[in-house]
Amino acid sequence: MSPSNSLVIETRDLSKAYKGVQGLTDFNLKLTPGILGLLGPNGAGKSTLMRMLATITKPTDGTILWNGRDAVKDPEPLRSVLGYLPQDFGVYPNLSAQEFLEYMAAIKGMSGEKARRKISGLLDMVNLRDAARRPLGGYSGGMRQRVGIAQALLNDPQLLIVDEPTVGLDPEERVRFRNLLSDLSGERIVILSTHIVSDVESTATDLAIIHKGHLKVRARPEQLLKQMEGSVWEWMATSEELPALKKQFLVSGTLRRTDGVEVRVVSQARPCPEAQSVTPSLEDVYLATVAHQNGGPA
Amino acid sequence: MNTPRVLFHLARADFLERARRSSFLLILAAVIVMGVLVNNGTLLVDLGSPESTRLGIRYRGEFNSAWIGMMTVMVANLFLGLFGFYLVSDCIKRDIRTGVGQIIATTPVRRATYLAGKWISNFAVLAVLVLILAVAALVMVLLQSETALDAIALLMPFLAVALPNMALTAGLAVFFETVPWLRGALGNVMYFFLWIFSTTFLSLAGVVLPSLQDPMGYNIFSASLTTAARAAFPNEVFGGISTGIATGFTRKVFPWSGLDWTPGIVGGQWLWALVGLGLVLLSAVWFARFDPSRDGLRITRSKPEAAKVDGPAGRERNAPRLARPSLSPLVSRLAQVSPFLGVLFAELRLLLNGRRWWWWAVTIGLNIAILKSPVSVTKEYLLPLVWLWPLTVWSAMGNREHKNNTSQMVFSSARPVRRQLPAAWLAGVLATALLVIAGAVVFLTSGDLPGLAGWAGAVFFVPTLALALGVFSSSDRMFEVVYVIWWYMGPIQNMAGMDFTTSAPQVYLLAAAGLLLLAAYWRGRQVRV
Repeated sequence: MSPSNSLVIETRDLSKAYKGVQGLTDFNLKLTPGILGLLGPNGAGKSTLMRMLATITKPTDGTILWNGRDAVKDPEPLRSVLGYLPQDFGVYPNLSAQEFLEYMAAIKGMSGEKARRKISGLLDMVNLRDAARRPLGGYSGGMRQRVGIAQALLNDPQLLIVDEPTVGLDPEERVRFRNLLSDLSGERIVILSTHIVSDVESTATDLAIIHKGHLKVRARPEQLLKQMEGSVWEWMATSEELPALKKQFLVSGTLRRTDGVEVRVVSQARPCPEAQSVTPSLEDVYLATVAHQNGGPA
Repeated sequence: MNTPRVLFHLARADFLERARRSSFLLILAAVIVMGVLVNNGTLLVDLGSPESTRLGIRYRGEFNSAWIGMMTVMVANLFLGLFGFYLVSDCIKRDIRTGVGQIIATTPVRRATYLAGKWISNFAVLAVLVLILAVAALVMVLLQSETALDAIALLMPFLAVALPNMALTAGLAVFFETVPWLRGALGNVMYFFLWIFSTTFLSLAGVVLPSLQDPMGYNIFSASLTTAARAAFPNEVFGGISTGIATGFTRKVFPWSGLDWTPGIVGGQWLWALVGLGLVLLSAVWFARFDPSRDGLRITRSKPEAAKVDGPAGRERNAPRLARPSLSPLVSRLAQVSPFLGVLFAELRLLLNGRRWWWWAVTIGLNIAILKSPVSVTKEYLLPLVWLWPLTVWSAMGNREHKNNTSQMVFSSARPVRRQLPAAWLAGVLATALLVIAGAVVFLTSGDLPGLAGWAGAVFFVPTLALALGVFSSSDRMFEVVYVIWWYMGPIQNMAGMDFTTSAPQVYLLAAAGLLLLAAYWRGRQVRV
């Protein structure tokens, strides 16, 4: 068995309360190498979960086990193999990318020579070689995000937690990052939290949907898509019909055409005789799950 | 983990981040000006007694290397001990503000190591400023010295007194940043009073531990200087040494060749550096390692430009549930009457909302006490106090947009300089009048019209000063520091012209008008950028 195959992170009855507000409740999850796509509406508890897994926040209750060891009581073994890209990631604006990464490498405990080699490779990987000596304050949002990605990968992490990593990236960089995640996933655990379902669709080997602090769905994407087969419909409607359709069905998408509006609906039964069954997407799965939790039409 | 390497990189990154800011050049310029003022005799150290001062006589050493070194160090300790603290006590808050702290929290770096790295960085910044003053002292010796250069006598005060004092100041800065309730305005005010009374407090340390003299070097220099002065003028009486601006005196000169820098003296002063390190290690107890749930850290979004990218292009996606935006009907109605009134009301709410019940209880209690107490008590104690209590209300003015990262939204709204800024200013003036209203009532009922005029001048001046400094510095710190010093010299010490609550209201009204124009100018520049 290779070392990566023994990697396991597990939460047991994990709960977090903030001054009376329950952020996460009895959360149980076990992850092995691969990419977990973490989806959920705003305020669902995704960031709380990730902050606890990243050892920033301590749970109110429950445990986190890293390879069987309690990471709440003793977070050091996990921290030494952890890469984390938070959603609200800032930089020191007067340092260059090279200096910032040297700084991060040092506090991650990397030796000088190893750090230099790794930084050089990462600067190439995130396409920042030419800008590496410029102050970070002059970087665009996308360039800063790439610095964030590079710092998360510095210590060759066994557990990589990335929160909204493709925000601010242009389409080309987004695709590069997705491919990078896919390449990494064979040997480590990657937790990808995002609102961009297409990112999850193209990379995740596993999917979890959180709602109001509870784990609602945990499955492989293809399983979920299979379950949804025969429940997604498309047809042409008029603009006037649209408001009524939105009230009646879970409309997962609309597309304006010259002859009307193409409506995409998630529904167990055929919504109208003209409706054609189409291949479901993860976005349909996500919207149906959230709507179901909210008591919506699906 | 290689701790020295981690410490080096923690301190290096932090130092470079600060030293490369354009504002650091301003600080360097200010320190160079301080060196010039010491050079040209504006700022100096001398000896005297109440009797000699009454006769217009003070005493100083001859301008040799030892005297110039000692004098520069005393001035440096006095000013850098105060302003240096406020300068460096932002490094942990910056890691919170930028979100870098969240990443640091996920690394194996230990709390004590992180804080020690920040301490070293603070010390490095202050040491650079001391180094500049040492160079200024060297120039002064070469240009003005009445004797030849003695490098040891010149530099030892820097090495043995100034640097350990800076290490202590650096440690205090880390401590104040780490203890949650000392992190904000309260800590800024408390440090000021600690600094005011530090010589007295810390001299007591020498009673407990004889080898531990005060960190400013006052005691060790004072004893040696007084001995030298007595030898030169045996029939005269000497009190302590004083540092500052004192013009119009005849200065008698006595020879002083410096201290005998024994290992005991040097070691004793460097013990203060250890005290600084001890404070840093102690502060690890309170350091929450950037856990937002443990000490209420506010992490503002650092990427306003990073708008969320939507799903696959071309198709409009519908959320299962959409909440309709709900706007405050009161603001909307006011805005319908006058857009300015709408903004004014909103600014008032921003200024006063969110205060805890006990804050309001103290405010109301102070105002009732002013109304019920004898006039002498009111004027001497209560009015000065009520002019300090709303410090955090004022210090939030002008920088809220930067602090909460709403500047792009606010500055892109209609008339940010001609409508929002005047509304914010007027809200500050109205809130001030409300919070210190009892003063006006007392002056009115006692027929004290000059007092009432002074009150009105202060009601306009204080929030305008806050707004101008808030806009200029994009932070609450500058106003808090400037105002507390001003408040101490004015309403508390009654220094001529400094009491903004009683002296020449027309001057303070004029100053308020000028500050408002400056604030508008700076805000205009921010909006254009």
